[in-house]
Amino acid sequence: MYHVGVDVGGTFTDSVAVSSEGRVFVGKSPTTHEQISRGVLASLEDLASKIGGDLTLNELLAQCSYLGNGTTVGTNALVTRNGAKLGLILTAGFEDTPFIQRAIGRLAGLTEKQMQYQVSLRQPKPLVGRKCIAGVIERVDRRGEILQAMDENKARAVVKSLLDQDVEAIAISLLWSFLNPVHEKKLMEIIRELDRSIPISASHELSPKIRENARCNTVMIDAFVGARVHHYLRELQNQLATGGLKKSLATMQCFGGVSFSIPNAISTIDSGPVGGVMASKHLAGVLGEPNVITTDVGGTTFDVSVIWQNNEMIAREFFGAAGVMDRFEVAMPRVDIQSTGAGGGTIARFDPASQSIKLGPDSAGSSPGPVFFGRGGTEPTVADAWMVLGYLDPNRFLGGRFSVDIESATAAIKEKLAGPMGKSVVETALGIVELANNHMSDAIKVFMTARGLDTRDFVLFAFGGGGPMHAAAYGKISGVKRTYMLANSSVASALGIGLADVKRKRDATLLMREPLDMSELRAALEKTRGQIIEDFSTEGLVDVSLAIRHFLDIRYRGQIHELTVELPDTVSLETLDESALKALFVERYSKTYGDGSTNEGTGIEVVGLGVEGVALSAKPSVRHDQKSTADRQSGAQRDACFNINEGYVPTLIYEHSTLASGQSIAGPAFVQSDYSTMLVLPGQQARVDHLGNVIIDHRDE
Amino acid sequence: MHHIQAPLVWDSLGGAKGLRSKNVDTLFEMFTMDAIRPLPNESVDIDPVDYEIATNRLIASLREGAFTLARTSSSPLVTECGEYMMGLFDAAGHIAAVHAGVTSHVIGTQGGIKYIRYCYENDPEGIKPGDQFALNDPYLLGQHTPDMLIARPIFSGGRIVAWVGSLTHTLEMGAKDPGGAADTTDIFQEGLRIPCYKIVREGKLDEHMCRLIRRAVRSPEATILDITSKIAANNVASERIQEMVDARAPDFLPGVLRKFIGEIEHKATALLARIPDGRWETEAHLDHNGLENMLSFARVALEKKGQKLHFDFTGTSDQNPGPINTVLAGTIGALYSALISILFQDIHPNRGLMSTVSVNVRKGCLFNASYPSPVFASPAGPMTLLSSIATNLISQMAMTGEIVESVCAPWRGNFNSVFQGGTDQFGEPIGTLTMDANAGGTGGTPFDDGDDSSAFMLAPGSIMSDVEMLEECYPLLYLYRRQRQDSCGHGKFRGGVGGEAAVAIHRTNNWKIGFRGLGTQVTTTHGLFGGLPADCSAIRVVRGVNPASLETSAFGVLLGKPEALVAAGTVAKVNSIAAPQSMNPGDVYYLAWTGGGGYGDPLHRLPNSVALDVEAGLISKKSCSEIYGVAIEVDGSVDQSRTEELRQSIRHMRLESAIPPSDGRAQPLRFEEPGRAITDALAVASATDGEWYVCRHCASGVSRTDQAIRDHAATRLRDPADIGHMGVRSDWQNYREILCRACGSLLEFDVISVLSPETPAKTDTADMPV
Repeated sequence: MYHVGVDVGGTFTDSVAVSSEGRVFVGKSPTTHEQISRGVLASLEDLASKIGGDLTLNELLAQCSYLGNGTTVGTNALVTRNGAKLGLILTAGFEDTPFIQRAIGRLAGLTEKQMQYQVSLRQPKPLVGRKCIAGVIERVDRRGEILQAMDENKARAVVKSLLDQDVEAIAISLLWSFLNPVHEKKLMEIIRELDRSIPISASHELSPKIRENARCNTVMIDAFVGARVHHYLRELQNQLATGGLKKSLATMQCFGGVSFSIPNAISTIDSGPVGGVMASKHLAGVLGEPNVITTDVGGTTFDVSVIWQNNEMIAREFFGAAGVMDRFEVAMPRVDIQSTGAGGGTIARFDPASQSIKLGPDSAGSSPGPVFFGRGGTEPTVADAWMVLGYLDPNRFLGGRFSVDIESATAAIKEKLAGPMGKSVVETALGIVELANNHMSDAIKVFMTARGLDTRDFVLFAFGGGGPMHAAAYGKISGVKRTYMLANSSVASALGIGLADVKRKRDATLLMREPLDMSELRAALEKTRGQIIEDFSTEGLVDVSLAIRHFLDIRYRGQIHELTVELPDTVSLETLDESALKALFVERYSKTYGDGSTNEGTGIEVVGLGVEGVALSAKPSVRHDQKSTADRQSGAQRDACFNINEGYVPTLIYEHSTLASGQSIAGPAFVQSDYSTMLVLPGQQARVDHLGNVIIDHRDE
Repeated sequence: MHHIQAPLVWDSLGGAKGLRSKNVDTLFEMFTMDAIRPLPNESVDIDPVDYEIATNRLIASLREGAFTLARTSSSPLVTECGEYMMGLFDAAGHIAAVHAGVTSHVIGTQGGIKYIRYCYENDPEGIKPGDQFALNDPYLLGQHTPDMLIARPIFSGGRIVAWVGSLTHTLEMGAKDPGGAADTTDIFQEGLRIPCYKIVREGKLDEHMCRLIRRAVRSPEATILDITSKIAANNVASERIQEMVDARAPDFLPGVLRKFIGEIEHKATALLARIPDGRWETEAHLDHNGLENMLSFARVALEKKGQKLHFDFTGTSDQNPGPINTVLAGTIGALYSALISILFQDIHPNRGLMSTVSVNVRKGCLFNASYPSPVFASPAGPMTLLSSIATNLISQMAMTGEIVESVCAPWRGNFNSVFQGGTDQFGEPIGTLTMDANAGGTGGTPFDDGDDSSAFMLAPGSIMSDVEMLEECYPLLYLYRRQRQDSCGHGKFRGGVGGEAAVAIHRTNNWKIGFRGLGTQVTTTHGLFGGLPADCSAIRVVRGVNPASLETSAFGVLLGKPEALVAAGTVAKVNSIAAPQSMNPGDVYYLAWTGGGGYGDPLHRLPNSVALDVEAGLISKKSCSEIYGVAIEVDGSVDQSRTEELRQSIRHMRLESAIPPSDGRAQPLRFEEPGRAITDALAVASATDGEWYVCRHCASGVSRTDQAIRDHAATRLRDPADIGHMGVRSDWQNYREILCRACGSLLEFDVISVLSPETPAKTDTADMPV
């Protein structure tokens, strides 16, 4: 039997199977953007053939004890603005909310550089037309009291006016509905009376949290992409079932874990990169590393996230930094992943004013790509520097499917950068790589500081096409203990999706200040916990081992941003008292913001709670398959340059599949497989673990 | 590497000892002007890759600090609205790296660092590693007392190599009313001022100072929390920078900072080299002196010569008796905000670009107020107006240099903040500011309409709080918050619209509300190249509305046009500046804020774009037909042929009622080609008698370039009410169309005053009739 995961990327659809014995197989096929499921099936077919023994796709499907997928259908629908014709119902007087975007829309989802262009910046165009936004007269206040009851006849007329415009989905977001959902529920009834099947996204169900702008965007996005995502997932499930899959298809969620039932459409958006974090979480558990920085270097971006005390972290909203989908602030819990413009395709440019090189943030992407692709790229990129320095095997790029043009890359670096700077091509290429390494370690440090974490308490995992190329350097600069260059690094997302557990998460608003009513607080937590358990049983997960975590959002009175505090397992809900809760908050606050940042004189207030549950399932333990011990070190070498004084030096090349557990590798050295190259720097000593990961311990340096 | 000794301001002024004899105001002015002094040109020899890594790390360190600031501050203006600034300064106090929500602080904070050195360098206390200094004197930092800078030195090899500074708007600094003040008559009523004090001694917070601050403000713990938040932010940023400093020679960081400032100076001058020399001037108006309604004048000229920009304020009115005044650092700060938002968008906004700037602003005028004038309304008042004026001048200049991406009609020129406080819904004392007006409109551009309800130039990172967050924190109930019809300047590309909000007082028996800003009786936001100015803003207090107790249908009526709200209670119109007045539960305040200026003649707007705006409710049907000349069918689509007729008749009417030029020419000169564009409406072309301004729409000559266009074009005076600006006082302001006398197109649309600065100012205190 196999655990299988499929990840649809921009270029390739990756699939990974882990057999009961822990053997890992990889399938790949080009992503078919016009009909995603075709590429998924092709990738699975490739996977079946890699498993060998004449295994057919249908046989593989029949032998799946689990099949998970990450879908980009929702993300694509959102980015290309190709979704449902929406109707939106808001509290009357606030119909312009999607157009005002509380003035954050002008900046949300942009890089700092993009934010500088003040003349041309514009708010994002809402997902709904003005004519399809309707206000209902009603008002609830901050105590949840109904000040103005909704007139049902008028509400019916409002719904009818939207249906008359042939809207394909309706989103509802009324003020304070998360405290008193009576009017939203009534609207849903009215809609159902008039239309039995139109999809409805209501804010009290999807995101019962304070802040109407993010809530409104959340229901809009969900309704906008809903039909497309659900149609895709149903169709894929049917195709796979027809092929022989006996299990429900599991779908990756943006807040981590998977769902066996069809999830809220919005929770699939941006779930792709979460797969890599899930793979890291799984491996971290196997390796006994509680604190891990995960880094994914792609063609365009550098993604950083963290496993902290064995768990993924959920993003906290902060202006526009996290909690943004496309250009819209949202209130959807999401795994905390920060993306920076730095990858293999990132362009390096000469700056005449400072006579130096500026790196990115723009990228040549995969088309035209780096100069050495020979597809029309003329601007030198980070990957061109790798090529010039001998870091890539020209005969083996993307498994040798691809011919490379080193001369053009060299010429471009010479003409665009080295010439104007008066430096040699090699020195310039070394400079580009060093700049990229530092960009990446800066991104790691900013991420960690903003979350009150210290890199010295962490190890680092590197994956993605370019991660293992830079990690030996940025791991060292960041100050982590050890850097792991992961086996199967180019398909980490698919692996993570294949090994994820079912996860449910519910948030609720709870407004309370000192003195806290602890019985009310306990009751609210119990209620949400009950809902989570209920959720699992509707998924058919009754007799499973559930790991349940409880969170409270707390802040000092007068602050606007709250800090999420987890109630430790050791504290039972029954015995939790106010002073213990305050102590937990102060401890967490002080850890996040440093000594002396807490303020004894200021009271605390609770603003929300969250409960999440994970159904722990049995999984195969991944192991490294050493293909051949005889050819362990073939003596293959390539000239590569790491230092301008020493120039090009003969550098050993190891074949990843031949590595033995416990083997040590002295830098400089390359470890190659079809889709990735790991680089161990001069002076570094790496060792291979039983999973095939290559580990550099920076304390030895 | 060269040995870099960052030049201190007093080195060129006779040394610190020489400054001892100067009075403090003279010193503040010297430190302020030092922010635009051209710096000596030094080349610094640093490896280019080391340099890039270092500058990126410095900027990243500031970002780390800013995250800390935003997450720990107690001030909603910081956490919700992004009103903060973090800077990295060289040893002399020149800013090299910036991370800012409010950009205008970049000028004043440099003076702050210089003053710290002045105060402590020759003092037995000295400046030691781990020290931090607090300053909030508006006469040094440039804005008002709530803006407090906390700065921390970075040492290498026993000497200071850089400074990290953070600044936030703290809600309470003990001014005469909760949340600030509006009717102050001197600086002493505006709260606690700390010229410069070492608040952290080698890592230890000075409890004596904290004690003093606690007793001087209304919300002691929140104010201290805001100060410790800045200390924490400086710690985070400087820790990261210190790591880098410690791994390098002592000269490394000073060299990087000097080179970074030099890089930006180089880029700024290179951009200016692309623009022909020229001079542009404008006059804008203020409607309040802080105590009474009064018309006053902001006259600003921009002269571009070589690689220099000179701003001349000659002709600007005297400083005001109330807080509608700005000190020199605020004035230069507002110019800086406009320069980086419009002209220098592409470069890191450090000190280097200001080497290109000089100013002439008379001491005692409202843009350079003398101590101890009141200044509390400086950011919402004169500084916002100046950012809009400067955008106008810079855009005209950029157009002649064909830098079209830097051409933008003025953003809204006035801000209206609401400051309020009393006892909140939990029974606790509170004072605050609500900043709905952050969602102002930006100006139209040569390519598209301005951004609707979105931005504020002094603080381009500023946002507005969610209504639910405002109602959670304060005893308020919003009836509506939405975009405001016809609040933009109309144009070929219209300005972005502003907004309006109606807010009831809810569940408190002790609440006061005051207003601070400008522009409820005059327009502050001009159009560009024939685009129209934006309407003024409007404030009303409507008592006894009691929205919660109304029948649902009556409640629904309230949500209609503002007239419906006004009819629902006893209404009073409120002037631009209003001291706090008591409000009862169920009383409502209404605030309508302004959009951006229009770009180009509205008759050239695509009729379909007008129809879409009408459908969206952003443009009224009246403006659609009278200003845009667009005829709309019953189904909302454009009637093309009637539109053509309507536009023809408007052009005809313009010329019909215009004053013809006095040059005696019977027929305008015709050109084959309009020539090189210098505005949206005008080009320059050659004729036998020299260069001519030519109408780009009909290719007829307007005047020779050595003549004033306004003497040779047709002009038509307009009452503000003619374009729907009902709130603009026509006894103060009129509008003037400058027309091509051949085709009737708008060449310019002037905002002019009926009075002149030379006639004695008329004031009145009465709230105007509604």
